[in-house]
Amino acid sequence: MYSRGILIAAAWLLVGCGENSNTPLAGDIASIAVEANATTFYATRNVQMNAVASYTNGVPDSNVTDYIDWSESNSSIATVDINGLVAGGSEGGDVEITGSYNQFFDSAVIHVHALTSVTLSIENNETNLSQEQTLQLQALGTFDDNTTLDVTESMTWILGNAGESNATLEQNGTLYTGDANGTLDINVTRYDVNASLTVTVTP
Amino acid sequence: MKRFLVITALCLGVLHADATLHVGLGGIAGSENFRVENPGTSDRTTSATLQGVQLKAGYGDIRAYAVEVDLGYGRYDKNIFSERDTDYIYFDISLIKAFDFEMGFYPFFKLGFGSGELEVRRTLTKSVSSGSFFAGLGTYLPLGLGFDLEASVIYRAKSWEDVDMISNQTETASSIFEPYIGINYRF
Repeated sequence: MYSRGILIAAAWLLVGCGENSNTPLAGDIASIAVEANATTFYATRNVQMNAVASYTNGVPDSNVTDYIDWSESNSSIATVDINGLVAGGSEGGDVEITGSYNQFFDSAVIHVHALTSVTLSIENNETNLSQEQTLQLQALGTFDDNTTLDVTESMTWILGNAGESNATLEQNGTLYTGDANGTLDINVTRYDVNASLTVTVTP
Repeated sequence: MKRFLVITALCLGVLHADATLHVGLGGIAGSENFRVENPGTSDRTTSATLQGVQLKAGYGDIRAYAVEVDLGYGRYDKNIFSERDTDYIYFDISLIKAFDFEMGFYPFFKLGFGSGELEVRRTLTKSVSSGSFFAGLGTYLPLGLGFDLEASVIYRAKSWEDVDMISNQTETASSIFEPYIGINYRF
């Protein structure tokens, strides 16, 4: 530190201490702006957030969506992943999504419509099925604005009471009845919203 | 490792022949050419004058080999990285080979490398570091009583630390012909 002090004192004599006034060559970060590709969405769907950084000194804006930290104000309403993809939660309402990078941040408010109920239906409305049959089931969800949408791909599908049967139920609602007789319990759930259906399998 | 130890021992032996310690103080001034690559736009270039002072300490023979460490302080007359670039502190290590042609002065050439740090006022950082390699020529002119005048010029290539632009980085390189004049004292 002593030698640095001597250097700086000597340099003041030789170099002076005035400030430069020119515009620097290098650009610097000026701000981050965040926006969502929709301001309202249904909880079973997603919204993509986007973040753009602005710079000083004529450096063009840059998409920084994948480089900043994302957070949500209420995870019961929605959550946002590291890539800025927002997924609805169990509750409806307004949620603030914030993108940040060190001291830079910006936010956008999104309204989420909660899923309030769901009903299950099966192809041809037939619940008496034969063995080794493949059918498609559908889940219809009703949201807090009374809108009804197909939520088949957004639900968790659970096959119960299969016993020794090799029946399967895929997460897109496709049911394979298997090679054994009996009843199959089909459930769909998302947070505290659920529905169930029982089918009978015969030869 | 064995080879390194042998070479080091030989160098120390050569240095030790008529070796002395020396210290020195001098000044530099030169025009440094910068090239800045901001993301998404064409490269920008400028020349900035660097003025500074340099303290040095070394061990060796004014007529043969010497090793030297330098500590320098300088300022550029232009902003490169921020609206307020200020102190530039740097540190060099040099190997010097001097010659005695019995002309009353001792020409030399030197090779070395160094690192530096420039104080800046960027939003995400307050300093930008640099690394450099250099080579140059100069001469010692004995003044008597252990003092000698040193004049040299080196060519220095610098690579600067990349600065963060979130999704990208700004890359900077520079080069300078760096004249130096100073006084050494040998003991």
